[in-house]
Parts: sequence; C-alpha cells; structure tokens
Amino acid sequence: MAAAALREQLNAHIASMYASGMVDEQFQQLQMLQDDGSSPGFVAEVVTLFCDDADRIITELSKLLEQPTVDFDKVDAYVHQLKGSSASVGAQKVKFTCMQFRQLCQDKNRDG
Amino acid sequence: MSSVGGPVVAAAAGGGAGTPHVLAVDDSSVDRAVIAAILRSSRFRVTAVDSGKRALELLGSEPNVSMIITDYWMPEMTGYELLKKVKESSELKQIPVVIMSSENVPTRISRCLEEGAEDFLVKPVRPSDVYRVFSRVLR
Repeated sequence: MAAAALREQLNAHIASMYASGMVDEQFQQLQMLQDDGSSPGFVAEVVTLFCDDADRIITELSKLLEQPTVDFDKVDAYVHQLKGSSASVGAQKVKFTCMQFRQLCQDKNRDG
Repeated sequence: MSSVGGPVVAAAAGGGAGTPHVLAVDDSSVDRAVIAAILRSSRFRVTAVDSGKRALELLGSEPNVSMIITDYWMPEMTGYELLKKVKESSELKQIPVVIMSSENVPTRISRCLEEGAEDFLVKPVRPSDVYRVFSRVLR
C-alpha cells in the first residue's frame, strides 16, 4: 500500500515536471530505456551524473564571473557543456536557460 | 554489470561471443551514460571511454570492436581527428565510425562523411537514431 502510494506520488511529480516544461521528450526516452529492463536504476544514475556535472560547471562559472575582466569565451564553453548535458537528460528548462546565457555571453553582458 | 563514470574505461557485459562490441567515446560522463544505455538496450556489448587517446589505446589491445561511436567536440583529440586516425590505420580502417555532435553544422557533417564516417547523429541521441544507423551498418 505504501509502495503504491509512493509510486503514485512519484508519477504525479513526474507528470508535473512535463507539464511545467521542466523536462521534455528526451527524459521520456531515458525512462523508456529504464523500463525496457536493460538498464535498471538508469534514470537515477544519469540524473545524478548530470547534477554532479552541473554543480562542477556552475562552480567554474561563478569563479569566472567574479573576475574583474570576464573571459566570456571560457564562460560560453562551460555553458555549452551544460547545455549539452541538459539536452541529453531532457532537462528542458536548464537547456533553454543555457541558450539564453550563451546569447548574453555573445553580447558580453555580465550583468545579464 | 556496468559501472559508468570517471575517466576509466567502463564496460558493460553483453551477450555471447557473437554480440557486436561497440566502443563509445565521449568526454561527457552524462552522454557516455546515455549512449551506453541506448547501446545496451540493443543488446550490444559496450565499452565507453572519455577521450580519443583512450579509444586508440583500447583499439590497439582489443581486436574485436565492431563499431565506434564518438562525440565530435572533445578536448585534445576531436572525434574527427579520431576518425581520421582510424581510417588511416590499416588495422582499424574497416571499423565503421559514427560521429555525434550537439551542433548541426553542414560543413562539419560533410567533412566527417567525406573522411569515411558512416553517419552523423545530432545530439541528444535517441534510441531510434542508434537503431537506424546500427541496423544498417552492422547488417
């Protein structure tokens, strides 16, 4: 009973992530890979990798943006990495934010 | 069993001796995990490495790689440079190579295909992309 309730709660949460645009079809592809039995625990594994990677990148970005003169090429390179990995896991909102961030890099807009 | 992550070669156990062995090359740990899972779902045996250099080391010691799938943009050695080295090698040139990239750049695509790549996949790579390419190439 408790397991069923938890499953229902999880499914509702995932549904809300799709509805709010937080995740996209690529996340569904990852769920299907897990559900076909060849990769149990896969979604948790890859999301953990993504969060660790994002944490590393955000730390580097913070350091770069604190510099008196910002190296926007380096900032853009890191954001490009984050955009790539967010697209791979279906983290749509992060991906779109990275696209906006890259535009700010091109404009050399640190305040943005 | 598979253990993906870090710079070390990560191998996933696959089927028997006749199971195609695919070498996946990507500096992103996230993308390595995704491509490895997609390949495992097609019942391929997968080894995932994080650089072209490690890929060439493995190719030198592992005789039975059926296919290479590599990211384009990697530090030190790009996927294109890896493709060229494979195609210039008398021992390796028969191995099909597929390139992946997050950017859809026509000149990049045509350059890779001219150099001998079997196909060029735009990221995020989907299972259907891999099935389509691999079923054609490994037929």
